[in-house]
Amino acid sequence: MKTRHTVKTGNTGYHFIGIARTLILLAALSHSIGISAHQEGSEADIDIKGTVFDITQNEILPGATVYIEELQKGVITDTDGIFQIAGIPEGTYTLKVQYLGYQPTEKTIRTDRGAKSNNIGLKPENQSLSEVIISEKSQARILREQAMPITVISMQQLQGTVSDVQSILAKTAGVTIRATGGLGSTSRLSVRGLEGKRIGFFIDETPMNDQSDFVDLNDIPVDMIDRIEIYKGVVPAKFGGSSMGGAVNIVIKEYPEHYADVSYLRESYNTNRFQTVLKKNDFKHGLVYGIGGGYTYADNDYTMDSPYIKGLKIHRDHDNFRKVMMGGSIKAHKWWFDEVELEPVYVNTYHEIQGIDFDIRHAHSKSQGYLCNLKLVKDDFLVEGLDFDMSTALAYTVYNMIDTATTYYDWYGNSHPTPSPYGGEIIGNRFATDSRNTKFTLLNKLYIEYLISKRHSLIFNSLIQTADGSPSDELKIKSMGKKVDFDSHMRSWVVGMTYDYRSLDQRFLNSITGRYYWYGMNTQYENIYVTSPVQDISLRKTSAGFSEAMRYRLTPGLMAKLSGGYDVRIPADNELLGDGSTIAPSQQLMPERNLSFNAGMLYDLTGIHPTNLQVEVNGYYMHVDDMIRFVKGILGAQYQNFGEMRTIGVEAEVKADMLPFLYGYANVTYQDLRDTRDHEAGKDLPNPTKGKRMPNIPYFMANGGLEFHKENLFGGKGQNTRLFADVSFVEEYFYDFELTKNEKRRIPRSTTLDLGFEHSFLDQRLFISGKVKNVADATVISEYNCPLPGRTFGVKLRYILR
Amino acid sequence: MKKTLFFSASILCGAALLLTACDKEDDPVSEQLPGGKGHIVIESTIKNDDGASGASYLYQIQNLGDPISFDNAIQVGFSSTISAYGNDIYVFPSEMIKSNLMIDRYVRSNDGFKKVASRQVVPGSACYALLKISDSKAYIPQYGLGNIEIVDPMTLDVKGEINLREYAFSDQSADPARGILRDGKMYVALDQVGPTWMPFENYRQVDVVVIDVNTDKVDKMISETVTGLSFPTRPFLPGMMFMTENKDIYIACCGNFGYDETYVKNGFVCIPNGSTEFDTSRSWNINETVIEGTDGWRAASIYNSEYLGNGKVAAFVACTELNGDNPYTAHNSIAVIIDINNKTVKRIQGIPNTDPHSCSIDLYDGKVYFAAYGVNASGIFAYDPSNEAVEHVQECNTDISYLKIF
Repeated sequence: MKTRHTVKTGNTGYHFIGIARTLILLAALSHSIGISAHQEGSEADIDIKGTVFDITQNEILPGATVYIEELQKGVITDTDGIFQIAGIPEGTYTLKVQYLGYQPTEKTIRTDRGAKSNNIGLKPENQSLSEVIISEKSQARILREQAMPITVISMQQLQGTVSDVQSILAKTAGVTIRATGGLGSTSRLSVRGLEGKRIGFFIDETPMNDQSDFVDLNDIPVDMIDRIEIYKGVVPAKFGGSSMGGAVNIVIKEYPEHYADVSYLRESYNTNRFQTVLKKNDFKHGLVYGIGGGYTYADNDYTMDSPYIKGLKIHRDHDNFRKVMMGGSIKAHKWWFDEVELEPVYVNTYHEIQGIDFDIRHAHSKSQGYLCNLKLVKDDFLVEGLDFDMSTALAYTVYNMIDTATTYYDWYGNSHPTPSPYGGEIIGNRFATDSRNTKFTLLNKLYIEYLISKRHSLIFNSLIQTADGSPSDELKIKSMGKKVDFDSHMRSWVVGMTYDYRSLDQRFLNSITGRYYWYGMNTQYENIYVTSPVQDISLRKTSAGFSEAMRYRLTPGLMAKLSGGYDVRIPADNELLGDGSTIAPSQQLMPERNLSFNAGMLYDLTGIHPTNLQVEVNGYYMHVDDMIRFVKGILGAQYQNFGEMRTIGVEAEVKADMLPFLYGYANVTYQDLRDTRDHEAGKDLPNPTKGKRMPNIPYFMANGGLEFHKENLFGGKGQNTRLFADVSFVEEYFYDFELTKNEKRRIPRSTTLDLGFEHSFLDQRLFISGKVKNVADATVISEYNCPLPGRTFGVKLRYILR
Repeated sequence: MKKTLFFSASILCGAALLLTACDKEDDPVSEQLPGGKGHIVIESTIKNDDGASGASYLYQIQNLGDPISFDNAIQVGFSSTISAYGNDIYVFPSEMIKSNLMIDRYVRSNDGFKKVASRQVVPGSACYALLKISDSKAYIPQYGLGNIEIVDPMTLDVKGEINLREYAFSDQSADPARGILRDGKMYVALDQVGPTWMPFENYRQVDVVVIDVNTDKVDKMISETVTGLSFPTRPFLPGMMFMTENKDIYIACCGNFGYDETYVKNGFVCIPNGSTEFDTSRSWNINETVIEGTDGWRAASIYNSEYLGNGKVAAFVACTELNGDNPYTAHNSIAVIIDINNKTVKRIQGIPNTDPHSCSIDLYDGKVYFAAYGVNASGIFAYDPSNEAVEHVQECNTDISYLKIF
């Protein structure tokens, strides 16, 4: 959908400025490029369609120019690398295809009645892969030029890396990962200090937050990712309005006609990850079939210092994690919809629970998820200029928590009886649990954009979510003597309207959005402390929000961005209802609200200057009311509202090709989150922590790195070598409000250095890569009292068959 | 120009990285003892909105009325419980949220606190108090494990164990709370709580084990099953078990903390002098008595008590009329004077309703000091029993989990 602007405003669009070769070609084209192919299509019978892709990597090329010499007519490929030229009389033509950094090609075509698909592969020019990708007018650049603050991690930055998605995100300005252990452990993504479910997690714009217990960021094979978009502050309407403070959208690659990608990763602590993707692109029928899967196994058996017992080394031996994920997809491009995609996914996990303060030996969790997503896309839906994009996801999940041991152990091997005769090894729970919690969720996201003219468009946006949970745990009932977990039914609807304005010269963009939020919930509640009649809970709440974002291009390389908004995030169902085991219900939870402003400057010479320099500075202010926080208490954890806080932050990032063979980046983030409550909840008394830095949130981070890349470094042909080093720094922060100058609970400062290499053979078909994370074996903790693995080693082998 | 800009920007960001990567010098070690100067020991608790998590700080102030500062405070576990014998201050690990699993012994002076001994506890053991028998012997009940550790109160070294698991009802721990020493016998109250930390519905009685402190053997378990009172004493509050001038032992019983309107029995049971059995005729369910000075309210639980003499007890009692949704944050308890001889309960006017984190009571220089965390006022309130006058003597915008004036 985002490509519609590219096509319709192409000849004068900012998207094309700075790409010398493209401009040359564009100058030769008639203004018809600026007219929609769909508009012209009504006047003729024959369309020419096809896909342009990189023949060496089998990756699509958005923004390539496709030109019919005889007719002086051309278009630009969209984000999927697809082009369509309508209204072609019967005959034989020469199709010219050009793309910066690639050798131009020509193809003779004959048109028959009806559309004709053409797949056109381009070869890179004789320069390094990195140079090509950096200097192209990439989708990454287009996104960066949006009005909203956004960071894009492009394919070039992802390619061949041994890192998982979280590690990649963690190197971005303003982003931290709050992990509690090894692979499979609970972790939270934090953007500008806001974290948890408020940070949207999307795959191809499909919200995944509700399934984040089943599908993790790291489940997505890096090799399948085209780019990662990180939105900060104001999140565009197309993401449905369920996020607040930020969102991460992972865009999956498109594939050429035949594609098979197999990889195996082996890392320290018996971490094994096998992943495969098979794709067949039937251009003739406009169908793309895909199947993929992965198996992850990790022992996570690293040794750590006990945070509770001085001098005690703990060998983690009950943190085994296993995950199987399988998925398929079928995508149709030639049906009435421009795109119909159906994706079923199956996920199965097993995870032991590692003790830290004592030795857990039996408790574990299991989960199964069955997910299915249907996506429908059509431009000129019913009327010309109306673009339609709808995705509907259904998920059925089963979660089991098993804690039935009747003995628990301290770290010296002494056994102790659990408080409950039924068991319950996890201290704090005076009950045993053997739960089977099922949940059925439905999500429908609708995005309709009406292009009024080149300058104006209106967008309608709707996000409907339902969740029906059914917890079951007879053992818990037996050991507690009563039932405290009940069926729940939650419904929510976020609806919004956006008006976009673009100046004709594309110097100025403005986007203003209004939203309405509604949610309701029905469930039951039983006070855990006393036996009282079960209460029926029925909630209905509404709210409204808005956002405004603008961008002005001062020079071809320099632009200013300004955005602000008042966003509302309604609580997720498991925030309200708990998880039926370790997270207690919190029915009184209020929606959280965020008033935010962002001002930024982007100096971007990508494609304009050989250095491809990008310098971006953003300053922001946020004031969050009723922030929903995850808090651990005596009878389990719970989500709670936290009165109010404000954030003032600044991020700076610079990256460039410092030399033809050397790329570098550095960023620094300072985010100052402070308690601004005048009074504690329900009090008239002054708040003793007013003005204090918010606890348990890092406030100063920096990252930097270098990447050396060279083709055929060691001789031979079709080889490419990359060497990279990344440094990451997080300043010490505190688990509580910082009130005393004496010893306090702290998350220590960490500085880590990662080193890695990647070498490809056979024209980017065979890859071998390796990485040493945390070379100095520094102590790293991102959650209080949860030490993370130290130095780790990893190697990865990947083969692409095409 | 562009190159210059790029390299300038690189240098700036690189410099930021280098600067941040440098090791921060450690703060110079202060020679000053932590905790601050003074003779009034306070544990302040700043809780999260759930009331079941947050942070607590131990410090001293010189005079009532001095401004509160946490600058030199010692951070302890959330709502950590404290036992004091002379200038020995024992700080126990928090069971509400994970904290260091250590019992710390400090020796306080007017200059601050000096840590002199520490000992690790078994996770989940739920140790809340130390009961000192002599300079070489003390008991630490382990609520979670159902036994009592015998320790050296100076070094905290373990010397033995008294296993009470055979007295547990329904589960594996009888939840030994705390005890009181009389005539060579330690009377240890058993809370007998269920999975929700409340008394079992089918076991509403008061159990006490009588331990011979010379042999560390259990003589017997005695039970008061007549009145239906339950949950004898709170494990960390010494004033909930007290002896009168006649050496009669009284134990305040909490019941269900006022959160079960179908079960609001609470009050006192008595083991009279000369006997090792309950005298049920002296048991008193104070819920049967209307609290003077209120609109007909009755106590639904005793949250803390301190014996003043002549049958008078200063207490915080919970009233169901004041209950909120959250038992950790509701301001549901009021300060009262209970007369166990005349069986009266009278509200002390001028002390705000408080929540369960702030219910400390201390006696000093003829006055009773109540720590209360109210909606409009909080801190320490001095009550003069001679004229029933109340004075707000110390403002403090946090809960006060522990108060002791030396």
